[in-house]
Amino acid sequence: MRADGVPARDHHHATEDAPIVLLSYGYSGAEHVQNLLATGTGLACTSSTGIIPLCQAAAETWQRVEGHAGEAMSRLAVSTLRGLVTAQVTAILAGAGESRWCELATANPGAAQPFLRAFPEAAFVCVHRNCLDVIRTGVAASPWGLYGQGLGSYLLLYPGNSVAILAAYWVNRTEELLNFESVNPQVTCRVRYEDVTAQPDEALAGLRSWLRLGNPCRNTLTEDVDYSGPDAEVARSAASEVPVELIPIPLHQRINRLHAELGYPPLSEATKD
Amino acid sequence: MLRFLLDAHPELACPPETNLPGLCAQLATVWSLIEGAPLSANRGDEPPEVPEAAIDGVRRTMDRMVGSYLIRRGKKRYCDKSLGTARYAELLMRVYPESRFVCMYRHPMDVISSGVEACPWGLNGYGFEPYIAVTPGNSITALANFWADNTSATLAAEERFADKCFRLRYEDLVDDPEGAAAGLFEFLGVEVVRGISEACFSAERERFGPADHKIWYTSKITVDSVGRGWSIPATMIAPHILVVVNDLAGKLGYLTVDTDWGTTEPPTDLRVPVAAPPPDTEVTTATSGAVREDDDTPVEAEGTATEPPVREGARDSGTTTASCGPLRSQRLGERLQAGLAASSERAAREDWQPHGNETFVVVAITKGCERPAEYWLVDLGAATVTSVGREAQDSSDWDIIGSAYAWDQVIDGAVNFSVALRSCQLRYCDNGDSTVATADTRISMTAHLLGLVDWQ
Repeated sequence: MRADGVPARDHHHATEDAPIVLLSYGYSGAEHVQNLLATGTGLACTSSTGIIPLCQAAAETWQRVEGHAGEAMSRLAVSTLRGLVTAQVTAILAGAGESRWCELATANPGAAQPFLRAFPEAAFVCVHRNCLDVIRTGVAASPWGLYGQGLGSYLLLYPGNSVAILAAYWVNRTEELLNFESVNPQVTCRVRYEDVTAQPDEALAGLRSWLRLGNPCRNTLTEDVDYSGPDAEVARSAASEVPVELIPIPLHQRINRLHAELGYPPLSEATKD
Repeated sequence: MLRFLLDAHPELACPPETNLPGLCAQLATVWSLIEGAPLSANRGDEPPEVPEAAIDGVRRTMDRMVGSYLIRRGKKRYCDKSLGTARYAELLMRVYPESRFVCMYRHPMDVISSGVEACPWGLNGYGFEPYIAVTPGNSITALANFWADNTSATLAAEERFADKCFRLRYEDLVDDPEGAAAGLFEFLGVEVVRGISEACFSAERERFGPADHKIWYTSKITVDSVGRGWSIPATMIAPHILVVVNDLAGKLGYLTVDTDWGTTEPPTDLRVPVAAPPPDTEVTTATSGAVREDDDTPVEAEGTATEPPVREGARDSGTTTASCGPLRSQRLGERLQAGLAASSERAAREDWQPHGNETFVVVAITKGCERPAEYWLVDLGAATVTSVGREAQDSSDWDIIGSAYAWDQVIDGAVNFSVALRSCQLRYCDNGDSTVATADTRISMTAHLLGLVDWQ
């Protein structure tokens, strides 16, 4: 797997009607990635429908009902789950008049595992973003406090420190996302928000091919979508506004480790601009 | 600002926040312990009774600190402006029985706005920590609680030591700095210094302690900060705290905060207007902001009508008229009109239904003195956009309100529409019975009319 949106060699090509799931977290800009990916295609895009967490909940119930330990699911459980989701997705496709479903899920990536069992042909796009940009975007989006943004227990960890709250959230979610990629390399592809906004054609070409989406003509893109997106330079300078000294040292170290894995500069360099 | 005013007086010395009152309390605890007095049941709290010997000890320590400071500054009287002083008023009166207290207040929503502005990365410092710990992630409730606690303590001190206290509202100070300063100095028994509200910014003040972070780059007293709390989402304040806040605001002569907060053009004044005399009574007292019942026009002592004060937030009397000149938000109206023309077919489309025939008002707050807000009535059914008056909000299905500047920013793409809505630079308002999906659809419709395709 590479950090430039190009799938690894052992990737299976998705089928032309396979569900596409973008896995990400809050403030990652994944909506923008989804918009660009879907432009000029027959994708019916949805966001946080709850289908992915529903699959997890249903799988857990099945495990309890059947007395299975661990993550194993019986064929009956899998087929029932697939039937349930298929009915829902069919309703989505009919409503949108499109032929293929593309969901953006910001739930815990681990919740996608039962969905994958029910839909082994599904393709997962993991959308990452620089930690400081996520923090900056999160704070800007919630100037009155981060309550109600799905940050739950993170709020209790660092009351009065939105930077640390969002940093902890990013660290945990990024680690989970990377873990999902690592466990499911054949069905996942990594995309960085910054690459998509800076050079969308290049960043999405390999991904589109893998997803069998085809390449839309440029005119379609420019007509319907703000193709330039948030400017990468603007994002970089904006990230330098974040007071990294508010990030506790252990988190700081984990961020740098994850940044290195994702091809982002360490925090000290990111804030020099 | 108050500290600058006090410190600029030739007799008074007022350093940055020293937390001297808090130190007094700590010293009193230590001295009480040494004197063998009973301590508080809760570790860290002040002792229930501070013996006179302990008070003497505190006074001696304070005298040394304050004395040396006064000598260094060449001044006669010491002033202290620290946060949370009110809770130590009883103790301070015992240490210095001749003390005078200046009880400073400000409208709660402006305090909340200022607190959020001062702490963009989370409520940290200024004594906010215990409050945000109680309501993590909700800075608005935390700051409302902070205001309520501090205001309660200050009012209690005022009640307890009525003849030793001088009430000063921030809004009164910025509205009439010279008058407020004169009243303050008179209360303190020092000479009134003319022009001190301007002179206080001319000399370098000491910076060794914490203070209002903006004061160093302030060069004059203005009313610019008054009314900023209008954009604060009052619905985020926990109901039981809002009750307390409103009770206190009422006692201080401030507008209370209700569900309409921020959903119309800003009020003329956050202070409750002075009751108007009967129409046939001659006005004999010059009262800043006094109004006559018949025409809302400010009057002077002689009773002659004058122009409304040139002040941000002044309320327009009614419908927009052509005599007011070009509209500040003309571009907004034109955008809406163009968007409506381009979307004439869209209103009938399924994704706008059942809202495709609704009317809504787009409000642009200009803060101009003649026309503080401009209103655009969008009638989706009739496909018209009309410049109207405030009363159009009474019958519209929903409204979107923001400053003219915020609208410009959104139209120019400098600020994302969704971010502007989330930060309440723009605010969607309806009659309270709609669903999230309804609000989303209406906002989406507005985005399309404004040509903001990538609005989420």
